[in-house]
Amino acid sequence: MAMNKEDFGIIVGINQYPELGALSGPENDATDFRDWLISPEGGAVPPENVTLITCPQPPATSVFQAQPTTVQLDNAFEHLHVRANEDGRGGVAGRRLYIFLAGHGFAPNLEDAALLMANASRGRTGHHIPGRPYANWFRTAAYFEEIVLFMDCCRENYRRAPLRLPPWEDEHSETAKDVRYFYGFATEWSRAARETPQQPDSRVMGHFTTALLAGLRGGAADELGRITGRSLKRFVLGYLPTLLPADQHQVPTFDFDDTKDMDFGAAQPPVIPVRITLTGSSVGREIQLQDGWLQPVFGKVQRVQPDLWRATLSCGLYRVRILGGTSKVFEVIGDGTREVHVEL
Amino acid sequence: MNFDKAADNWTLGPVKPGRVRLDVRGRDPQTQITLINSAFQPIASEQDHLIRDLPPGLYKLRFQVGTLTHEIHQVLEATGQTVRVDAPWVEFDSPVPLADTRQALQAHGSAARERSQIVDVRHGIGGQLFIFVRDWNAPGSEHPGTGLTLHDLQGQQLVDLSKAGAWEEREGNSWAACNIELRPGSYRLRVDAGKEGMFEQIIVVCKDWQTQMFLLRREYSLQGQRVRRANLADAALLLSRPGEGFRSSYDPVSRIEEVARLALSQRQPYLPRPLLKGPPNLGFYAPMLGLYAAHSLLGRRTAEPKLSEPDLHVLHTLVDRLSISIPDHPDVDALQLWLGKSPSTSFHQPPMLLSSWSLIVEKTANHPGFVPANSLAANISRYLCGHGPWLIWQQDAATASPQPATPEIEFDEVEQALLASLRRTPSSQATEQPLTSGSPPFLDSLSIPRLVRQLELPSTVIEAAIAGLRQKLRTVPAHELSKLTGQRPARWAARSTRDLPSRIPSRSRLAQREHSRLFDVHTALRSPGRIADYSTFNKGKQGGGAGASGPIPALTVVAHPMPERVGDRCLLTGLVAGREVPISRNVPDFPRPGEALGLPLSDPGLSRKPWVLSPGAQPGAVRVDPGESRQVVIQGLAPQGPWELSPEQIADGMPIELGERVVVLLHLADPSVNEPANALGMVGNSIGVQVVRRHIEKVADLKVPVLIRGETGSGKELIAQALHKSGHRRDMPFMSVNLGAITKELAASELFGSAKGAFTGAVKKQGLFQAADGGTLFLDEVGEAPPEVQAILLRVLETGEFFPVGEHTPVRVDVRLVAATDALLEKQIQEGRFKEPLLHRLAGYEIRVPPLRERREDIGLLFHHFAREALESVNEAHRLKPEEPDVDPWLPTSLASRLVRYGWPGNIRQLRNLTRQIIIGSRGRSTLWLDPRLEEEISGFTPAPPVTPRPPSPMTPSFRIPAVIPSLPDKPPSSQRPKLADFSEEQIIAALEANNWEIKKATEQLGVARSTLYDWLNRSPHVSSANRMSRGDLARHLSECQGDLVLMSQRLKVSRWALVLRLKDLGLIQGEDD
Repeated sequence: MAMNKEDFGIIVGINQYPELGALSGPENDATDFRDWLISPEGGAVPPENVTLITCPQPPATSVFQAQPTTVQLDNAFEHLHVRANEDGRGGVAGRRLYIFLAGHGFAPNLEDAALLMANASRGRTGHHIPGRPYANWFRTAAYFEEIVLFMDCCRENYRRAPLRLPPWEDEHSETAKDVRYFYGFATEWSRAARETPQQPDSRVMGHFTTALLAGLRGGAADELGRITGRSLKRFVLGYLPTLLPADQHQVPTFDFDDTKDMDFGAAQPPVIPVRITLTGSSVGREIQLQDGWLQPVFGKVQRVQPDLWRATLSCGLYRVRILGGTSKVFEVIGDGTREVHVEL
Repeated sequence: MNFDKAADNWTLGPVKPGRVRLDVRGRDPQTQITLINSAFQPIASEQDHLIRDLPPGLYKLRFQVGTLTHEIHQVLEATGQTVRVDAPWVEFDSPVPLADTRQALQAHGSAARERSQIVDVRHGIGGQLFIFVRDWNAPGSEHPGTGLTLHDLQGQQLVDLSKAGAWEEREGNSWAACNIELRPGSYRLRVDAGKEGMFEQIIVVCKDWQTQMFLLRREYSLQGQRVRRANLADAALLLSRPGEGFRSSYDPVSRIEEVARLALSQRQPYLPRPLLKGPPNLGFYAPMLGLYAAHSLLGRRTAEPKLSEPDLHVLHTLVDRLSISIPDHPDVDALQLWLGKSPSTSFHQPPMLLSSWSLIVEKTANHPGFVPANSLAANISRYLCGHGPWLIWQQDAATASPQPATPEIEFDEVEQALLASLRRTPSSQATEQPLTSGSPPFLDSLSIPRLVRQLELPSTVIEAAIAGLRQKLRTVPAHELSKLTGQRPARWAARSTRDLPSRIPSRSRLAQREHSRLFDVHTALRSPGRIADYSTFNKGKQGGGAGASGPIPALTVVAHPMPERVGDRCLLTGLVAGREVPISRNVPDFPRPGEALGLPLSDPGLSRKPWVLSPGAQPGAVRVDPGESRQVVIQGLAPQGPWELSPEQIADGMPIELGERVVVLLHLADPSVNEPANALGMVGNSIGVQVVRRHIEKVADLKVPVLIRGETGSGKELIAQALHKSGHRRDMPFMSVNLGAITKELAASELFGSAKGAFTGAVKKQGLFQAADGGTLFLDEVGEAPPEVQAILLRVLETGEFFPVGEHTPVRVDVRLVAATDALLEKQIQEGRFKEPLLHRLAGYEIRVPPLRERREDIGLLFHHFAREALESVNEAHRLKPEEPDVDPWLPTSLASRLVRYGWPGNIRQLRNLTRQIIIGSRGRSTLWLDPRLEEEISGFTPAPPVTPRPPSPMTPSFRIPAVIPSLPDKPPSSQRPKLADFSEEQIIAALEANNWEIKKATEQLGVARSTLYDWLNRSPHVSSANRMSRGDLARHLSECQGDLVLMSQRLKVSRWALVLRLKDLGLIQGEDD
């Protein structure tokens, strides 16, 4: 597959915060997102166009040595400034810019989310990168035709933290209004974003990134096999709750102009393994599987044991019923790497 | 959606074959219902009610209330029957959004729920106030809830919450709770944190509701010290029905209430428009949300001076519902007043929302009678100010002597019921009865047969209760009696006024101040920066207050070993009142402008013995008495006795160096302004900057062209950007063009664009006017524009349209013009170099930017602002974050003092460049250093303030600093005073040794300025500093010298004075002999 040579990515994952407590997932999130970004089947961005920023090893024990700080991030962004202003580029750095930020975060106001840098602490939350203003800066400058921003961090409300703005002079391009954008935040304002060991390999990852990558890897493909901003939003909103424990809520938010939807590639709509377990008096009985039109599904489900049936289904709503007995509606959603479990 | 559901059902007609009718109802009108098909695609979305005919299948229904979402699966079978679905009650896992609050409520949810259902104290009847506080106790007490007291508006203490309620002590997680039954009305909740401050919040208790308040403690570290605050701005306040208790698992409405409160305090519109459409019965079951929604609507007036018709309709309906749900509530009265409806009271009680008070003030501006002159609200208006979304009572700590508490009387349940019945008895029955202590005759009006039916109790029990009540009410003061019984005589308001404590000024005096005070509050409401996030309010520490007007002397920290202290300010209100103001390491506090709490200068190198500022002999002059501190240096000289600084010197700003550690600037400041130092993107708190900010706020949302005048480098483009970002064009382009740099040949195509082939090499190009369409076009250096450019600009300004070069169709754009110049355009007009009509067109509104020399108090902040950027670029950002407070100052005081006194002809741009040069030149050094060229530059030009001859003053016999500053630059011409560079290192050390390392004497011997010797000592690798020596080394030398400090200073080659300070700090010697 051809690579998108004019696409760029700045990816940040911060695990180590000497004063805020370490996380386990952000660097995994960042590396996995980078892997998707540089894969020909994924973002198809040349590796040399992708900047991955994580914490150096060994971890710093003091905020004064902790990295990355805003300096490293600003430097990464400023390389794009330089590129846009090279002779002959006409103020254009590339086609699409991906910004991915994962770590501790907060919401300085209702609209924004900010990634705390490794040297931040309580009372020193000024060490942060606010994703939206940075992304908006590149939109306004029209250095790229498309801006993609994903932030997997908390958006708890810290009223006292001042919003740090991009440290560059404003640049307004006449084509700014044509720049497409797609912003995704792990959670709504004032809410926490969570991480947990994810199956199948128990790597700790953010729920949002897990759902996001599942969508980008094909889970969000629509009936025509296209992954668009709209289908991605729909998928993440539907899939993320399935990753959460029953007593947790995390509702991602997305911001984009759906009249200018964005293309994230194409994939075969996934086929997802489903395991149906029968309990109590249902064990050993026949089941019927119905699709979203209440039509029977044939040939895709088979009994493995008296209390276990297996199926492979495409995304959608289904109903399983014991003939003459109880029934249950369930959702099949994902990228095919996780099994959907239904108990009846 | 405001439609008849049955009619809608009818409109759809019979269900077609093969379809199923789905009828979904929201639980409340703001429920957004989304229908999703089996492929997870949304296929319909409605508010409150959704009805569709659908093919049989599997569907999802999503219910959203505000930011909450709940989904259910729905099976539609082909039964031919309508499937009716009612929205579930959407629950959310965490109660309130704030991290701290959520943490508190998750930890204490069950305790809060339980305690809110039990009445702890009865002080009236009709409503309840439940207060839950986490981890709060007064300083010096371990008992939870201490320092929390409830007062009536007259200041009389009603309840001490730590004694009346319940509590639990848990390490770092204690709580106290108290549920008080009260007569509906406004009260003052006092939180007393001792010397760290006090505030009182207005809380309204309304009939048949329980007002629930959740208060938290916030602690933070400031320069190594723990500072505590009662976290009022983030406190949650809810209204719930008595007995329902606190809902620890919040329903969506409570969640939205919280978000709406925060949005209101942040002045951000939160309630989405669909939420406000439809039957707005929010006020019925969630009065707080109703109030927030109403104010959110009114908040839109910033962009649109009047409410739109739909909004106005919603507001009317909302207020109608609120007036039913919480009648007599002053916040509802305020809304009614704004809508022109007759409020139910005459504002005897203040509201609890700051924005409600704003409405009252706004209306009062045109109709003073709305707040009657003798009403309680009018009399206390001078004490009211804003805090977050809330209205608080400005308690003057100096006069806050505790009021004698009313004896608390316990009423049993039957007596409470009798009081309730009494309150329901029309007040008119008792109107003619004078309310005095003694046997209340109105008890006779109670009907025992009716009470028997009502209370389901035997008549004997009721008769006994009446007798008991009669006995208890004999001891109640008259004004309390009226509260308990609700029997108000006609002259209640006047009686209440007389009952006010004597410290509340008389009516006649208030009459003069009342209106201006109301406007003060009103002005503050229009100023978002005023709503600072502080919690414990202390008027004394804030300074100013109702009595202060106009600029007053202030000290602003310009340099400090802890750079975060730069910009902290102490208002010298004592000087205005004619008192002395002592300054030392420990007093007074220097809060950051906009905050109530601050720390003293605190530097361990400063003396505990104060130097004193006092009013000078001449009006406006200030006398500086160094006292015994011997650390005060003014203009490089240490005064040996009192000095007097003239009003001109103070107006210009006079830096004062303290112990080679700290520099403060004595200057004039506006005490009423409390904005953050970076509001609108402009760094500084000077009066000049505040004036510019006010101008920006006034004109930002108008289309009127603005002309910004100011010297070169003073930040004109920054102001243009602030204008753009503060107005409704903020999301549109901001284009900037330097008219001085544009050639007359290309001017037209640059400004208006060109068609392809319009001239040689021309391509189709969009001009700046078109690029800025909908936004702002900034014309910089408009005074330098060539005459031809002036002409084409004038043409487009006059006609409103232009022709791109080579085009024949005129183009009309919507552009707001902001121009800037440092030229004297009037003079250019006289000389024929600038077109007068163009000036008039551009100067629809003028803003003058003060030069940096007129805002010297901002130089410290600006220097550190630029230094922070420069230090990050050289990876030395840690210089501004010292770990220990006793480190050597990174910015030497002599340098800071010179920076502040320098004239800055290039203004902020010059300061920025010079800062960068100093930082880069000092790379790798722990202390900033000036190379000779920079030294010469900042010593080369400093304009003196105007001279006003003054008669000699008997109060300043010893010394006086001249109004004209002859020592600027610091050093006199070389013919009069040698430079330190004229001496070799050996000569300098010899002079120091000859004078036992006393800097002052050594400089006198050498004839050089002390500041240069300090700089030299800081730079020299051959001399040591007492501050850099370890405790062990110093202890060893002290022992070896047997306590002889002169010998020790000679041995160590350090200043004896610095050595003494260091030894005392380390506890190696005792005494206050500094």
